[in-house]
Amino acid sequence: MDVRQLEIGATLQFEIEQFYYREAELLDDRRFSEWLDLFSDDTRYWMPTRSNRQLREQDKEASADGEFALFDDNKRTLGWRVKQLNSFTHWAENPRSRTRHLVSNVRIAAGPEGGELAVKSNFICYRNRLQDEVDLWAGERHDLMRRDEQHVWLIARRKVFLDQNVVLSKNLSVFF
Amino acid sequence: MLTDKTESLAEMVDWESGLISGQIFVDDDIYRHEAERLFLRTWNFLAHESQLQKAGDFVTTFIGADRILLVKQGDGSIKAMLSACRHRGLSVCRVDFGNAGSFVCPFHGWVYDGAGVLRSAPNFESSYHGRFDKSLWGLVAVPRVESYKGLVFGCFDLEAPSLPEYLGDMAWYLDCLLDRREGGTEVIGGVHRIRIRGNWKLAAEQFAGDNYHAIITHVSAGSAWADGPSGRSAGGFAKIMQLPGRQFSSRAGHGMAGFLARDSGLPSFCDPSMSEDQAVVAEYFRATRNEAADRLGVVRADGAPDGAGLVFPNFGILANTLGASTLTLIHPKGPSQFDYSRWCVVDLAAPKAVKEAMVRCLHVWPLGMADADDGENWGGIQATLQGPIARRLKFNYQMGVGQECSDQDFPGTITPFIVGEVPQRNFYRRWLEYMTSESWPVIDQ
Repeated sequence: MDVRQLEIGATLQFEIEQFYYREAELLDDRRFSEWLDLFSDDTRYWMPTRSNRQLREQDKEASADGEFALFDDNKRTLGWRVKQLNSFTHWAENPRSRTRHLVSNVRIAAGPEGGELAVKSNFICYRNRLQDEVDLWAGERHDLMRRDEQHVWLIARRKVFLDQNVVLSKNLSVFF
Repeated sequence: MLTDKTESLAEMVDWESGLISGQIFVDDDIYRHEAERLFLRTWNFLAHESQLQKAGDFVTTFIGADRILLVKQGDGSIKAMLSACRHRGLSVCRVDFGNAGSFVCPFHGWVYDGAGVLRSAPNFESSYHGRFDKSLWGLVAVPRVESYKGLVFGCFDLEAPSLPEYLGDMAWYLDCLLDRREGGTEVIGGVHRIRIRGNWKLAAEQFAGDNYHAIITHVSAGSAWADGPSGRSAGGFAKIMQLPGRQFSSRAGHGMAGFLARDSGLPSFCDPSMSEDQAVVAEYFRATRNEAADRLGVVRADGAPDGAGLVFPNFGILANTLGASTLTLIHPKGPSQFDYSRWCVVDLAAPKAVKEAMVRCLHVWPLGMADADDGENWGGIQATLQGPIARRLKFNYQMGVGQECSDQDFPGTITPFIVGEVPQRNFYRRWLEYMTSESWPVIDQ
């Protein structure tokens, strides 16, 4: 099938939503190495900071390319984070956090290149940690999706807009 | 004050013996005391001058618990004011930074200009009937604002010494970060802020003197990136922390947590084998080494003394470490929380590609791979200290006791090792002096 003729309809919507549910499952089941495999080798995993701005500058609320970010990883540095998570000495995740990723509001549009998709989704992530620590994060993800040679969807870019100014959790030792 | 406590502050902070009570990290009264006696007297970091370029540029920050508004004036000076309307106290600026000619209180609409002068209020004549002198009701100014090589500080205490005198020998160490090249530095890319569930002093003392924690707190980060032929990382922090090095302590409470001596055999700036970005920064430091040596001398140009440091009480630096430099502000938010703010600071004269590589290096270390475990551990201490027995424990700050000396290369009190707790003891000695003095605590040498 020529991916350029992908019809953005119920079938594709179902396929992409299933992809996100499986992704959430991998994260919540702490299968981080398998999660990393969902990203293309040239991926960028980027979470800008969010500042409080005057209304005339509200479109600059998220930090720009080249500025500070909460995450700005390529496949290699994302792999370092996964390796850190898989070690026994990453104290922020030993013992493990209990997370629950909920993904919704999936909106699919054609991507910049043929066969690519620009997908927006919303998320809520709940974390419970140790005895009584709770964090709640909400935000939006902008993904660029493309298929590999085996026709498997990969995340070629992910930009995460976390809806917080001061990050209110003691760390961001989870992925979104 | 503090009369309900069985111990006095001096008993809680036995800096000479290196015994510090957990009480000082959790007690509400001590926190309120700090807000008055410490942060209203010390020089507090406010901003980097590069954040305020043209008239009307402003940033908001805090001194202790008070909201502060910084505004660049028409004459090029920087004015710092309490961001609290004189009518009912609402903050007159609720964004992080920007440019404005006036600041309006959203409650009743009192309008202040960029210098904090009250200019107007709604229905002024028909409401106040001419019985009101606007000139008496401007925003409260931070009375003293001074800069050191681009870093803007403010102080409420008229008895405090000037900023250079306050910094003392610490300025020599700050220069490694601030004065390598003509033009000084700038901060780029905004600010990174996260709320930590620990007492602010846990982070402050770490910047002042605690390299030791990296061996275990950051062991997972060090081993995670040791996936290449990385000379620095493969051995881990345990090896680095045995190399020849020094710590700097200041009687004024400042400190440098530990830096490699020039003969350590390991360049401290970055690790070219780690990533292309690290290699870009390594090459930049090599190419600019002679300029830095002309300005700072070979000791500082060749890498020592870099790493973590603290300007008392809550302004940290991480100089030329693994490809990048950060400024850090540790804003207390009650006894058990603080906001941890970081800026990336680069040589103004550096090429754009180098600056961008430095920001990316920062996303790996410390923001990406070190912060999570620091946050976990500081928060964990705070959780333990909720117990009355735990908080009465006297913690051990005895590493390096009696090993203070002087050094021909480095000013100030030096300990001849890269790890130790002399800076922390000096930090708490100075903290105790502020907390127990009725006025500015003069340093008795």
